[in-house]
Amino acid sequence: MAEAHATTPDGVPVGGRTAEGVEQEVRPAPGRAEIPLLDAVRSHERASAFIVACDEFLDAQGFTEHGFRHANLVGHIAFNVLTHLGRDPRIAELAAVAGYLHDIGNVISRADHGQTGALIAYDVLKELDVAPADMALIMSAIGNHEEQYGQSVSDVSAAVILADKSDVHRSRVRKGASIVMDIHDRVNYAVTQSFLRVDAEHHTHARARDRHGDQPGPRVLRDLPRAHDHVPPCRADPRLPVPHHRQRRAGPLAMNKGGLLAILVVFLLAVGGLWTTILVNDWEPQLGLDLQGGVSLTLEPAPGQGEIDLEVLDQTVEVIRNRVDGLGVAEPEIARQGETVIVQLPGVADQAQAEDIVQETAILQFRRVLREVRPTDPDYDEVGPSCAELEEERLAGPPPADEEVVLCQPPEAEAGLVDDPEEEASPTEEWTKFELGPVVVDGGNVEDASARVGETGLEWATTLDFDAEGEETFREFTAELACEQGDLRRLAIVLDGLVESAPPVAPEVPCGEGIAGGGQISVASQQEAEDLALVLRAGALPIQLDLEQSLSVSPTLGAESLEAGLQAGLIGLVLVGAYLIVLYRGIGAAAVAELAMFGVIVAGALIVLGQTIGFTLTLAGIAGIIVSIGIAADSSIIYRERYRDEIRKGRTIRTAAEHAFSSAFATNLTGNTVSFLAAAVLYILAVGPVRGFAFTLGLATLIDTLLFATFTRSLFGWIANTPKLARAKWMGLTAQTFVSKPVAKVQR
Amino acid sequence: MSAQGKDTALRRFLNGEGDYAFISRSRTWLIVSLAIIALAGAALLVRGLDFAIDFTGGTSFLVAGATEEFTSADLREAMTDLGITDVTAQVVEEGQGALVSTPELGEVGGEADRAATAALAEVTGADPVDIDRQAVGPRWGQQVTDQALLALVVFLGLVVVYITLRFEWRMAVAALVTLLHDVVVTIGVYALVGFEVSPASVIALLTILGYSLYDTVVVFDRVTEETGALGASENRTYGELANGALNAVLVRSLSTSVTSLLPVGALLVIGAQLLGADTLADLALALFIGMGVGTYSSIFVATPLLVWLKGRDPEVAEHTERLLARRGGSV
Repeated sequence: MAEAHATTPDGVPVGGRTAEGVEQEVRPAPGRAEIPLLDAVRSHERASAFIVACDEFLDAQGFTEHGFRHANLVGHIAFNVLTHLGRDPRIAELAAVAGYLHDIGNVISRADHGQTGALIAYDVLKELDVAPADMALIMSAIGNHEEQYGQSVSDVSAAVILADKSDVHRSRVRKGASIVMDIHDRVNYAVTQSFLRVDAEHHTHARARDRHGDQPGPRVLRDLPRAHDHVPPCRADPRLPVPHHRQRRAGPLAMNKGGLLAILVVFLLAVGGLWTTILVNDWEPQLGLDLQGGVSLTLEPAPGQGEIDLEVLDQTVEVIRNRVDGLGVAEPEIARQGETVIVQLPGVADQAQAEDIVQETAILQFRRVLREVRPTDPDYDEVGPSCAELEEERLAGPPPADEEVVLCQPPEAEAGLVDDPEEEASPTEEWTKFELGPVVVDGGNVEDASARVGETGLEWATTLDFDAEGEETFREFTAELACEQGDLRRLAIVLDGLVESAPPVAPEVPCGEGIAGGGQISVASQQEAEDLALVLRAGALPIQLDLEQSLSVSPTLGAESLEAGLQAGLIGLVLVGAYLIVLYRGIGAAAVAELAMFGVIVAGALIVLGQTIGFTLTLAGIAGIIVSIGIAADSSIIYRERYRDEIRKGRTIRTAAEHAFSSAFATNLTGNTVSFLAAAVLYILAVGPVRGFAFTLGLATLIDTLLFATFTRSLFGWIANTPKLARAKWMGLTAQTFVSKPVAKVQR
Repeated sequence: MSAQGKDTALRRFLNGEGDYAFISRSRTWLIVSLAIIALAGAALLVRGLDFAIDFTGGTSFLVAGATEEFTSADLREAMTDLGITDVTAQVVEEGQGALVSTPELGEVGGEADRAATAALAEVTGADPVDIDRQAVGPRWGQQVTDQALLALVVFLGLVVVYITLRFEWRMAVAALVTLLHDVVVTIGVYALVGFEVSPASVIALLTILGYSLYDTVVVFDRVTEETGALGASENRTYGELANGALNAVLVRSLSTSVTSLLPVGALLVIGAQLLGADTLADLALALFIGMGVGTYSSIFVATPLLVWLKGRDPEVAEHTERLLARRGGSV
């Protein structure tokens, strides 16, 4: 309200209203609540009751409207007039109170209501402990405001008279009043728009329009200079001291044109930089499997395995990863979400093969160790193929069971049995080679395995239970080994073609008798014993996984889906754009630019995230983006609706844009917090396609808020600060483009 | 005469100058809402929901590039020969493709799945590799649902806390009730029309909740602003102020709904034409319904409910009473 000193191009009033009906009731808008004394008076019960009564009495006598609307309006206009002229804030505050109370004397009689009003005001102000000197200013202003004997006795008094007389409008005419009868009704009825212009440098002008013309009414004030819509702000005039509080009241987030332009430029540079990076590196979005075709498999731990140890599950994922690597898929994605393992194989067409690879149990083999060849041994390179070659062969399938083979053991496997997926694998040149005999017993013969304290009570061991056949074979095998010494006494446990462990048969096992009733492998720690038991028990993956979902998408369908999603998004954007332009005109076109910028940033962010954190865009993700178009458009709409509200309150284009930004941004933050909460909760808790959806929705919400604070704000602000653009009718910023004219039948 | 154009009810409405009595007709909206909820509940009870295989477990086959002539009866027969009953089969793409779905066939990716694929390949003459199979175990469907429900509960908890902190608890309650209203109605529409409930529908439902809340929060934001100065000098009741706030955000609410529904509508139309892109169409459908309901409820359910709740606040009640008495006395 404090800003209402200037006017819009088509004459929206200072602190008044425009067309009929817009401000028939004055709301206690938040911006007005910053005049403490006025607020105190407004809360005064007796004064309020009197003003209500005044209006009723005047109504009964056939006078125009004189209720809270008039009181509030005159108070605020008086305040604005003095504020704009750079008067002391305290004086302006007194004028506000005087303006508010000026007609209160009508509660006694219309005749001499100025003087009776001054006395009533005295009573009210005394109760509020107002200083005597201030009281005098208010009382004299009220006592001297009537036209019959009115005198401008002080600044306060002058402001009240001006404000009072400028409240001329058709809406003040009571329903059913005959305009033939009363001069007040006639004058008021003739006016559909009125405003008060206070020009700090020149004069004070009142201006009225008759209901037919867009031209200033020369009959009312002839020597009116050509209306200039851009009234110089007071602070531009060095002669006028700027009251301190005025600076803060230009809107909590006020910014001048230069600042806005700077934001706009920085923002555009940032977006340009983002896209330059993308284009220079030739980055493309990572498409999910449903958009490029392929096979998606979802695995879950089979029921009945008790509590699932996530670390062990990670090891399982690692085993699967190794196998999938053997498929030669370009960019397989194997991920664990909670207890769910998701295997995405883009470009794979053979669903059955993919299923086999994942479901296949790992191959467990027991072999006789013929010789251990360490990397430091002189003939290391001559024994068998290199470990790197063996790694590749390994992925093609298990080593032949009935042949002597050379297999490798990574040092990690020796130390910790199962690979730690976090640790980087050691180079294959450092792996130990083993010359091994044919398979003696395999995983199929293992029935159970468990960790327990060894016989001495000091060490840990993993015990094995074989089926009947396995038990006999194993006994014979260890009986032979027990007769040997050195490497030949060892047996190798081979899993998926890698030597996991090669323990020697214990020295106390007698030659020729072997280990009956299952095997026992001594290890260093409890952890190791349990890990080994896990591997042996499952005969395969540390944790048994069941296939829960198997989904295949053909590349054609994927491409069509992508195209459909993009088309829908584009059509959606175009339709929304058309709607915004129809509703808001030029400033609606600015909203379309905001939407386009939103699209550009979201697309850029998705591409960059695809490159940096491996985000893949799925169909559900595209749906999330399309939904977020609505959210982005909403921000633009809230801003524009707020702007219209501010104009209706009587602000100028520039200040309305500023104030609208502050309140619209607060609303945007509140609303987006809720949306973001929804997205975050979904992303964290949900499984399956929901996460892709939640991710893009959450991202878009963040981008929307960011965009609002930068691009949207500066673009709108810049337009509002550029008079040529702001005043153009096609821009849709001026009041006449969205404030309706009075209904025709009222005129008759 | 000028850019203002004719003064019509529509123009007034678009310019946000309408003055519609929302609050004073709360009773009407209550009856309308109760009727809709009753209808939704009845549909749910009578018809139930049609859950997709993602929830019940099962396998669906999408055959492309068929080279032989076949009918849906042929497809069903091939399945029956394998001992698979309760099959739905459909010939699509002018005989070039087929959609077949069956109940759960043992293990996912197991023998039965493979046998069915082979049988379909034989009937249609398509390359088995061109048959996209989507097999879902029942546990997975259960997990998707459980997680979604968990997400829902957590989300609602957070929202109640947020709204209570940002505004007040009465608004949290009103928003929550509004939300439930939207969910019941949306689910009711699914039951009534017989749409299949897929994971995409669940996503959509959760989004609708977010949207509905977003809309309600925006309205409440304005109500809070308008009613903030409710004091002795305020000559309008809480209900009247709230009604003013509703009118003030009416254009925004409707415009936002239109701009949200336009892209979703585009998604719906385009997605529906595309074979197999169920995610898109399912999502769009649920969103389309839900957003419509959400817009209705933010205006006709949330705020009237809030005003009713506020009427139970002694301070507000006293203010209203005093005002009404003052007005009554002045007649």
